[in-house]
Formats: sequence, structure tokens, C-alpha cells
Amino acid sequence: MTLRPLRTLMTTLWLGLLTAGVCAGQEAFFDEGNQRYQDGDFDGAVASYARILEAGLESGDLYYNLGNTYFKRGEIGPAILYYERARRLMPADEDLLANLALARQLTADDITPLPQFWLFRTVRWWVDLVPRSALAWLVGLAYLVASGGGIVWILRHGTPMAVWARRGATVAAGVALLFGINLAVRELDIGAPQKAVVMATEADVQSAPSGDSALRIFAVHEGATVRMGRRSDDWVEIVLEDGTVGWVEAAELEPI
Amino acid sequence: MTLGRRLALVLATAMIGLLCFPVFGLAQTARAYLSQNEVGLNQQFVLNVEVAGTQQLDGDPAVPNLSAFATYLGSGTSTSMQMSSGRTSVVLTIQYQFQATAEGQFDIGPVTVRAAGQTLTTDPLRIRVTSVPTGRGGRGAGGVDPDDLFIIATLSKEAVYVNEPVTVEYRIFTRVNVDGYNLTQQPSTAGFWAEELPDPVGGVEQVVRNGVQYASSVIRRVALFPTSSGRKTLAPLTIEAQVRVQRRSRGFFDDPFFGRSRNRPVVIASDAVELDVSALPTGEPSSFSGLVGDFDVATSFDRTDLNTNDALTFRLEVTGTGNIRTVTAPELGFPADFEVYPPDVTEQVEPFGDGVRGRKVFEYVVVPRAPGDVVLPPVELAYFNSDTDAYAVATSAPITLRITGDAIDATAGVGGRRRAGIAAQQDIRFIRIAMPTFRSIEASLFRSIGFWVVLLAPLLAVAGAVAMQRHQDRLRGDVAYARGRRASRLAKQRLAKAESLRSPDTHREFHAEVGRALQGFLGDKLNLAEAGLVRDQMRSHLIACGVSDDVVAPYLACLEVSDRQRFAPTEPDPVAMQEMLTRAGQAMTDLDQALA
Repeated sequence: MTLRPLRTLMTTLWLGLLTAGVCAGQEAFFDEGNQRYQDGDFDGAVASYARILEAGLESGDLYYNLGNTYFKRGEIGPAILYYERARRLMPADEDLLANLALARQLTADDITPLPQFWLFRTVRWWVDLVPRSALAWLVGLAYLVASGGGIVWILRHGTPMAVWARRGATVAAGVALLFGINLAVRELDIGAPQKAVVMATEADVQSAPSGDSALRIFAVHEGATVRMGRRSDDWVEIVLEDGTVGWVEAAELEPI
Repeated sequence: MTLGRRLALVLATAMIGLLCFPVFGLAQTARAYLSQNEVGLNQQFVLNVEVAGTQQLDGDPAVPNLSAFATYLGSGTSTSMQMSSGRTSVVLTIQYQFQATAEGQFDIGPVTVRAAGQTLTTDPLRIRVTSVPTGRGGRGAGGVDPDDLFIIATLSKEAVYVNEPVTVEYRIFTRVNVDGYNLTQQPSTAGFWAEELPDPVGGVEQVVRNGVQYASSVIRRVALFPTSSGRKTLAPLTIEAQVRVQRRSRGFFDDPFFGRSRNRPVVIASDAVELDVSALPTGEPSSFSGLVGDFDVATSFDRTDLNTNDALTFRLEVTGTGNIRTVTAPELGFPADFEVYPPDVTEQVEPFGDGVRGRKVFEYVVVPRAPGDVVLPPVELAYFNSDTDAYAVATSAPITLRITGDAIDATAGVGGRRRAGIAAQQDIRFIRIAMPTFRSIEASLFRSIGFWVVLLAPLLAVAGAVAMQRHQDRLRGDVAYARGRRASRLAKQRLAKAESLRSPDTHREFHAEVGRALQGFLGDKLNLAEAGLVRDQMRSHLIACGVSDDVVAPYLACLEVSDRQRFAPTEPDPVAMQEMLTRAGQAMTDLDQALA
């Protein structure tokens, strides 16, 4: 039977994929952080969660919990920062979006975002629709089904089985392509500019990368989310959601 | 003789002179002088800048800033010609009119004038402003005596409370012909809330003031509501009046009948007026919001019997005299299960007495969400009554609403009551307790082995499948080639088997085997079904393959012998059988070579 070695190979690959990225040790810190949060020990919770990040690991839920903890500590800037980091990993999470909206209401700046072109909005919605891990699994599975179907079609050419294999492979290839583009856009951060959150209570926005008080245009406050543009030494060009442009000191921002 | 007349005389003389003598431009000089060196507070003075030798200035003269002690009222320009020792000179005079606002001795810096490419500077001047009014003897601008034309500002009250209205009336007094006027400087009403009152219809009346009769008219009335306590000063009001003056000429035409008149602009200002504003007495009611006057409040619903979820209109009307525009919506005592939407506000204000009176109406849309009899408590409006110098509270009558129907969840209704704040009402959603899957922060899909394995392995598998299929297809397609390759081997095997049968007892089997060898060889070589082959067909096939008859004939002969011996055997002859084997082998070898 010619198909047997191929099947064995694929099973091995899947097992390898499953075991990749599974780590141990940080579960204890996560539980500890959750417990401290529920006990009202927010400083302790931050410390516990931070241990996981220090170990070089991340997760959308971890960032979400960190955002909540900072929110409870009354630190709106870090809260928004971690919510935004969580949003990168789980863009459509409802709890996250609700908390982020609430935190934004508590910021000092009332920035009205520029209306976005509907097409860009729709594309963004589509890209963010499926959570990242589910997307990776979906694309991988569809890709394997498509290639498996292709192999059957080639080897069993001319039989009824090959007809069904071809149909299955076509559908799976379509799914793999559709969501594969989605996954690639997400992974390569295509069309997603580098953003940052203002950490300083009040950051002066200058018209040029210089601390000259005569160049001060306005001020942004803690928690404001800005788009980062050019850099010049210790200064970063920022674009507010309403389109206003200026320079702030890089130390007053934290990239998402 | 007024200045105007004198000027006219000079002008007329100059005109005559101009006819007789050429005008020579003299060296240009500039000088500045004041209409009077001593002026009373709030009185007017004129700074004259005289430039001789030109009629044209390059830009406006640079006049020093006198705002420390005087208010600028306006300016005018006049030109005159002078004749001396048979020469004519032109003199340009610019008059700047000011009103003194501070007492003391003040220096007026030099005035710089640019004319015909030269820069001219005047000598500095000194002025004394005294509290004692000097006689209004000084000539005002435009040659009108200040006693003949002036504005008096009058307050209806000298002392008021904060938010109590006071009316300022500006009245013009004149003994000259005034054709018209326009306001050049509106006094600032900073510190007041001003309500412009319409011009009175009184028109011009004859008034005796200080024993002199004037024509008088009210030019502006404003109701002012002071917004803070203390001594307040109202800045002067300035107007430019068009005064009709007579121009006289000499000689035959020196006759009133021929006197021609023209309008000359004259800038005049009122005095600044002062007002004492006292703070309201303490002991104000808790709901007091700064209203001063006399107010009344009334409430009404468009109906009092209704169902739950029906919208009804609640009307709150505040009427009275005083600063009605500043009335804010009072606290309403609606129960919590009433939805109250922001009101529509209309106001009507008209002048009345020293201030204004009017009404302000708040119309609310109210939706009850629960049934029952609801008594709306009286609405209270606290104010300070300036007539009685006491606080008072206006109260509306309570109203009972009869609501029938089912209770409706207020939160399910449209909008719901507006929440006051966010933090007090909302909280963030709870943290995630379920253990998430952690991944490396640096992890990227493109760095994981799994990704590349999943990406590339199927590609390799597909490539392998394609290669395998091609191999099999080739094998299947080259049966003829394979048979051809096997033909000689099979033929030899069969001949060897035939040789083992070379005994007289197995004579028949021997020939059958030789025949199979011969027939199978050709079938394999030409990839034909050997069973269906007749010798004639074989011949034509071989001829078609380009095999010569010399090769075909022995082969067919052998085949014929084997067939004949199989079905009609003769006496077995071992020698003939050996010879048969040799001939068959030779025939197949020749055929093989011919087909190669």
C-alpha cells in the first residue's frame, strides 16, 4: 500500500506541532497572581504575573489580567498598555474590549478618532475575526487536508475516490488560502502601525524634536494611545487618533 | 470769532494769495502743541501736530502712547496756507483728541512724522491733569465748545447689590446743530451682564441745565447686572457727531443769506461713571443660585392621567423681574422610576423699570415606568428680593399624577436615566482564571519548526506522489518493451523444457513446447496476443515490421512442423527432434536480430 508511509509521516508532524510551545512552571505564578488579585493584593498580583513575562512567555489572558490589576491600582496608563498588548493576541475578546473602553473613558484626553474608510474597517474586522491560535490550527489543518486530497487524487487517478479527493482538496485549499492570508497579515503586522501608550501623567507635545518651551503645541495625558512615527534621538513623532501630529520624549511613551 | 471762522479767513486769504504767487516748498518743519497745558480730570484736550512745507505725509505720524493718563477719542486733519514776505507755505495740522483719565503731571514724548523722505521730530510736551475742572474754555476739536455739545451718563442707582440691575442712560446735550451721530466706542461691559434696552421714543426735548437751554436726547440705555461686588467704573461712551458749521466768505458774500454750511465730525465722550456694588447679605437659602429681583414659579403637566410608558410634558415656568436669563433649571423631585429627558428652554425678556422682566420656560419630556399615584413635590426657586432686602423662596403647587398600567423595567427602556459618573456605576470585568496557553514572547510562526514542517512536508509528499505515479505510468505504458526484453529469455526456457521432453514417449509434448516457444517469442516481441495468431497474419506482421522473407520462412516452417507433429504425429525420431530444436533456436535468433 503506497499511502501508508505518508500517513505515518503526517501523524509524526502533527504530534511534533502539538508538543511545540508547551512549557511548564508558569502555571503556578499565574494561579498565584489570580489568587492575590482576588484577595485585593494588587501589587503582589503584578509581581506574580511579571514573573511569567520575565520567563519570556506571554498570553492574551495574562496581559488582560495584568491590565485589570493595574486598573485596580488606579494606574490607567499601564492598564491601557497591557490591554492593548492583550488585544494584539486576542483582538476580538469581548471582556477585553469592554475593559479597555472603560479605561479609556477615565483618561484625561478626549480624542475623537478620525472616521476610518469602511473598506479598511472591514478588512481589519476580518483580520481580527479569529483568535490567533485557532487561526493557525485552521490554516494548518486546511493545508494538510488540501495536500492529502491532492496526493490521493494523483495516486488514485481515474477512480471515484479521486473525484471526491479532488473536491475536498479544492475546498480545503480555498480555506487555507483565505485564512492563510489572514494569518500572514497578522503575523507580519501588515498595515498595523507601531503604537504606544503615554505613561507620563502629562507629556508635552512639541512641534519639533526639541525641549524648547516655545515649540510646545499641546499636552497628552496618561493612557492616551498614539501611533509612533519617525524617531530622532530621544524623541518620537506621534500621531493622535484625531490626526494631530507632534513630538514627545520617548521616555514618556511605552510601545505596545 | 471761533477758530473755524479764523481758519476759514486764513484759508480764503491763502486762496487769493495762491492766485497771485507761485507756491514754493519751504524747508519742512514739524511742531507739536497742546490745546491747553492744564486740563481737568475727565476733560478733553487736543494734541496738535503741525507740519509745515508739505501737504502729504508718508504714513501716519508716530504718536506716543498716552494710555497712562488719557483715552484716545479720535483725530482730524486740516491744511492751511500761510503767506509771508511774498511766499506761500502750506501747513498740515493733525489733531488728536484725548480725554484725561488720571491726575498728575505727565510728559508727552516727541512725535515722529515722515514727510517727503524726511523724518521730523517734535519737541516733547508736558501736561497737567488736575482734579479741579478748568473752565470748559478750551476749544474742542472741530471748533465746537465743549459746553455746547456733551454727553452725560446717568445711573438709575448709585449703589446696588450683585446681580441687581442698574440702568445707564447716555444723554446728549447740544446747543449746536447736530445732524447725526454714530457710536465710535462701545464702553466695555466687563464685570457686568448687559441687557441692551431699546432706544426710547422720547425724541429730542428741550432741557435747561445750569441755566442754559439745550436740545437733549437719550442715545443709549443699557441695563447692567453686576456679576461681582466692589467699586465698578464704566468706561466712557464715545460718539462722533456730525456738527453743522457755517463757512463764511469775505466781500460781497459776507452775508448770512449766502452763508454756506457743511458738516464737520466732532468726537465727544461721556465721563466715566462709578458704581458701588455690594455683596448680597449672608443667610441665603440652600437652593439660592444668585437670582436677584422678584420671581414666581409655576409647574404644570399636559395631563395627569396616563399609562406607564406614555410620554408627558412637564412645564416649569419662571416669571418675574431681574436677571431672568440666568435662571437655571431647579431641582425636580421626580421619583427614580421616571425617565426625565433634558428640557427645551425658551425665554422672553423685555425692559421693565430699571431692569428687565420676562419669563423662562423649561419643558421636559417625562416617561413614567411604574404605575401608581405620584405626587410631584413643589419646585422651589430661591431669590433675593432687592426691594425688601431679604431672601425669598418662590414655590409651585404640588401636582398629583395618576399612572395606570404595568411596571416596565426602566433599564429596558430607551436610554434610561443618565448616569452621573462612570467610576461609581461601572467596574471592569473580572480576570481570567482558566489556565491559558503560554507562548514565547519572541515566538513567531515563522520561527517555529512546526510551521515549516507543516508547510514543506505536504509539498514533498505531493512531489513524491507525482514521481511515484509517473514511474508506474511508464511501467504500465511499456509492456511491449518489457515483453520484448523477456522474449528471448522465455523462448530459451521453453526450448530447454522441450529438450527435456526429447524422448519418443513425450514426442507430442516436445513439439507442443517448441511451438509455444516459437509462438510466444513472436507474441512477446511484437506485443501481440499469441493465441489468436494465424501463420498468414504472422507473416504479414513481420513483413510489415521490415523482416525479410529469408528470416520469416524458416521460422514459419519450424512452426508448421511443430504444429503438424503435435496433431498428426509421425514416427518419433530423436535425431529429427534434435535437429528441430536447433532449427527453432536458429530461426528465433535470426528473427530477434531482424527485429532489433
